[in-house]
Amino acid sequence: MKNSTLVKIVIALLFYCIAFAAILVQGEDNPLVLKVLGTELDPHGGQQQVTQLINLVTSFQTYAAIVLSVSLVCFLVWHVLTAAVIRPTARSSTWLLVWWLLLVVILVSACIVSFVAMPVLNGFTEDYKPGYVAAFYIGVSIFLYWTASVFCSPLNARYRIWPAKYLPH
Amino acid sequence: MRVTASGRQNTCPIDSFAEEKKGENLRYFLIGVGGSGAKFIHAMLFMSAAGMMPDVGDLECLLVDADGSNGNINACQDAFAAYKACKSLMLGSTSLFRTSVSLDEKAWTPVRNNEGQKFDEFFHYAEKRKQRPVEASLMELFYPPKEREMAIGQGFRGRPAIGSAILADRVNFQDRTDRWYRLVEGIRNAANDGKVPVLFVGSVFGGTGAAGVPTIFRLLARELDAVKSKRLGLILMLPYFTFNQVISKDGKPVVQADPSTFPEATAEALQYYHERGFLKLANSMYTLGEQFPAPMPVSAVGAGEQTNPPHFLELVASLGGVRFFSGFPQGDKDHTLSIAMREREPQLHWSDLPFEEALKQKHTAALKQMILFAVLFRYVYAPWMNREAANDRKLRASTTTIVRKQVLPYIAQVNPHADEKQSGADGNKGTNNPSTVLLGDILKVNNFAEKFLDWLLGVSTSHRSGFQASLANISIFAVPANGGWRLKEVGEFSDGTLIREGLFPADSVKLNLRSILDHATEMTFHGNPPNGSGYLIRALYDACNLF
Repeated sequence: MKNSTLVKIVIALLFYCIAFAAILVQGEDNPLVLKVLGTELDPHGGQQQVTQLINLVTSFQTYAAIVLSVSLVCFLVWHVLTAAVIRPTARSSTWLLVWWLLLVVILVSACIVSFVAMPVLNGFTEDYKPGYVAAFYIGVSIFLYWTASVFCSPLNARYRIWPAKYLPH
Repeated sequence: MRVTASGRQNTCPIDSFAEEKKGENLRYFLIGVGGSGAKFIHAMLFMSAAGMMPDVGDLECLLVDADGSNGNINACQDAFAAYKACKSLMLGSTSLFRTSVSLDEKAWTPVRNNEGQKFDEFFHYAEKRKQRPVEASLMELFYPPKEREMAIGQGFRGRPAIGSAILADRVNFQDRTDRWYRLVEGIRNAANDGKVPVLFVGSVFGGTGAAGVPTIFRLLARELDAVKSKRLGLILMLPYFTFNQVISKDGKPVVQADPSTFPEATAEALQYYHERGFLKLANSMYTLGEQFPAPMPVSAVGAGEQTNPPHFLELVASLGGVRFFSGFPQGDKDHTLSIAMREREPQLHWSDLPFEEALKQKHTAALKQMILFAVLFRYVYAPWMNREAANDRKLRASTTTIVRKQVLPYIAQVNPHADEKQSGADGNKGTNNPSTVLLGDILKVNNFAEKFLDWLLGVSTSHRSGFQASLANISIFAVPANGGWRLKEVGEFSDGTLIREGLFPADSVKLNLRSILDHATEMTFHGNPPNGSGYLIRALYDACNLF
């Protein structure tokens, strides 16, 4: 494997690590998670509220980790396919088709996770915004996949994803 | 196959011109006589394209043939046109198409348009019969009626005696309008700047070559007697092909060279060269022959139909040309004799090619690089780029990395005014917009690559059953057809086969198209950089430098 390929994978992993960290650290005190959940539960309130909040946040984080992992795996698949499988001389449509297929995988995974997560989260409390949660799962996983693809695709796929061709490389 | 090279040093020691004259543009003169001479220049064009000529210098070629329209002359002119088109590309400091080559639009021919086409008419036999009966009788003595009535506009048909008489009469070094005057002036001018190599090539067994090489060589050597810094070289092709009797439209056999007389004619010719002291006149002499002459699939007595396909001996001869122009043989002995021959009869390997030892690795690598580049360009790069640059809008919107890195930033240099205004609804109205420029340049290289591969295919098969040239794996780019071979169409090419089987048998370098392309994509250039489409073409060529 060439050094530049390795560096790109490391940078992409860094993106994902930052996302994981932003979502997973600080438990029930994580302001980002609390904002996404849109809950009124007070982390410094009564014991019951704190327990509900911990369960809610922990479950949210678990499902978020699953969604992000799927996104990361899809990006790695994209990386491997473009670096070693798809011919550099392949038509533009071939590259885009592969990228969009992986995007659909992420989208479907995020939808499934959201669908599975709802009853679990509802089991703890209904004081949160389910729509926000689903949007977050879908949005973050796709955003990370897209960002990593734009900035960290291998040489022959470097300009394939919009707006990579407008960015300095 | 046997190649002998004999080098003699006269007053000045022979050394590497390129080293000595670095920074100056040397001139190399090459005179190809007859069909074999044309085929040699054809081969030399490919050697020049591969960067095997010395680092600096212009190769000035002259074709000599009584039949100025014979097929081999046309093929040589076509290859030259393709070379010239590629030479116009701005490729920067590279060995690819480095040598400037010049070649007249038409071959020099002793037969002028307004003259009769028969030997009798050429020497005004009818007038002589009346006014100078002794001369007429001499003509009758030396030339039987069949030969005297033979049309000479299509070559001398294996009658060197006819050719010698005509050529000696027509070569004129004094007439300022004559091609030979300009050639001699060019040699004299070049001699003022240092040593000037002049190489003659032709066959000893046919008509035009057998007549022209010794005749013109001696005349030229005499004319250049005062030019001390000249180096004269001779490449003599001994019999290496044969052909069948050609039948005219009315069913009669036509007057033509008789292959059965080639060995005898060759022996006599070599005896002649020996007795007339050609080894003293020439600084280097190369003779090449083949034990088993290849039957030429197309045989005609002249004009466009006389196109003999390439033969590996022409590759060997061109290596002799490269050797001569590179200033070899070096050393302090008065005479050197080198002999090269195949290790095994029906096979030809890279190790059999008589590269000069000091240049062997460099030239083998250069030739392999050219072969790989030609294959990849014709079958992978050109179709790909044709698709990517189908029109201007498509080219500008391309997300292909090599286009964005090696094409788009530079193509505007060639045509800074090319912008979207030129593009119409189809995205491709202007004739000077980037996609048109790029496709035009790709077409030039593709055209040359096709001619090179076609030549390589001929060299590799050499039209002899059982013969196997293991220079390149021809099944990668050619398929059997009509008892011979033809180049594959783009759709027939498989890069998987190329990777699996390799282009060069037993070569340790394993080809990886992806890594070649990655290398080309990331290529940066030092020194004199390319320009415009030259970036892409140069990058693709340099990335094939694997050997």
